[in-house]
This record gives sequence, C-alpha cells and structure tokens, in this order.
Amino acid sequence: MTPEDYARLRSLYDYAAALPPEERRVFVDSSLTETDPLRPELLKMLEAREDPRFLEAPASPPLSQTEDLGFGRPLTGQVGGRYRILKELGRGGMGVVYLAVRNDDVFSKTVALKVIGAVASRGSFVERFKQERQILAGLA
Amino acid sequence: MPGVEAYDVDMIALDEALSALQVLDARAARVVELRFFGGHTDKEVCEILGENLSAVRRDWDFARSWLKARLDSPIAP
Repeated sequence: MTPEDYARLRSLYDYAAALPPEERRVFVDSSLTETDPLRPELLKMLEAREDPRFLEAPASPPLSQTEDLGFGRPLTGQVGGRYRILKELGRGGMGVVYLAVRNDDVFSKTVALKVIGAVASRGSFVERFKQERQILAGLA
Repeated sequence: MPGVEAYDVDMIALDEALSALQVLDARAARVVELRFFGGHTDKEVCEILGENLSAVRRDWDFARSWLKARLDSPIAP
C-alpha cells in the first residue's frame, strides 16, 4: 500500500467509523466507486471492526517500568511461565519476537512470544514469571 | 497469558501485519504495541505518547480493524 492510499483509507475509515453503523454503507457507496481499489479493504475493515474480541485482552501483564529501552542479553533457552524460549525469530525497533514452546506436560504448542524493549532488557523478566507461576501454584 | 488463550491470535501473522503498519503509520502501530503487547490502558498510552485521548482511540480503532482485515485474509501490505 502506498502512503497516499494509506492516507486516503485512513481518512475514509475514520469518517465512516464515527458515523452511526447504519449510515456507513451509504457513506462508502457515495464516496467510492465500485471499482475503487480501496473499496473492498474499507468494507472489510468496517466488518472487522464489529468483532470486539480481537486484541482486546492484552497479550501480557502491564509493565510498570519503561526506563530502559535497550535490549540486553538474549532470552533464548530461558523459561517464562509455561513457555520455554527456543530461538529469536526477529527484532525491530520496539521488541524481540521469540519462538517458544509451552513448557508443561499438558500441551505441546509452539507460539511466538513478543517481548517489548523494556522487558527484553531486564534481568528480572524470568524472575517475575517465576513469581507469578508460584502465586498461581499457591492458589491451585 | 490469559489474553492469548481467550482469543487465539496468530502471533506471527500479527507481528508481520504490525510491521507493515509501522511503516505506514508508526504512531498507530505504537498504540497497538503499548495496548496489546504492553497491557497499557488508553490513558497510559496517551501519557507515554503525549497525545490526546481521542487521537489514541482513533489510532486504536483504525489499527485494530486494519490488522484484523489482514489476519482474516492476507492482502497486499
């Protein structure tokens, strides 16, 4: 998608999303021709908007510290809660993605774990997961 | 990580789509990072980014739909 297409999609979507739901289709029909390449995407996004579950629950507990945004030593081989980190898949400006596997006998499930900068650099990362696991074990 | 299990998201596809969004709209991508990966509330995101609440909510609304549209059926970034 070009920056120009993106800017146009963004303004069309923001406008449509602010309308009452029953007026959105009329807005799309009056603003974009049938052959407009952005039309299918805009309709798909407005449909996707109606699923409130997507991304609503955070993937991880909130961070209380954001003081250190550098990346420290790799977490490969470490254990975070039920997940054992196998290898680093990639890293970007905001965090590191690891391939991990569920670390218990119940399931064998491979997942991608994204660790954002402040956590990735902190030695307390594994400690915090261990503490949470022990709290949960204490409740069981 | 209750969120991951309550509603299964393909995290690799999400990360790819989020990287594409970051190129087009870094602030909207950052809102997703902070809310979904960082677990921050709207108000905390405002403070971190120095933006007003309505701008953060519009970014979140747009980014969530943009990402879900891509995860539902992969389309060109």
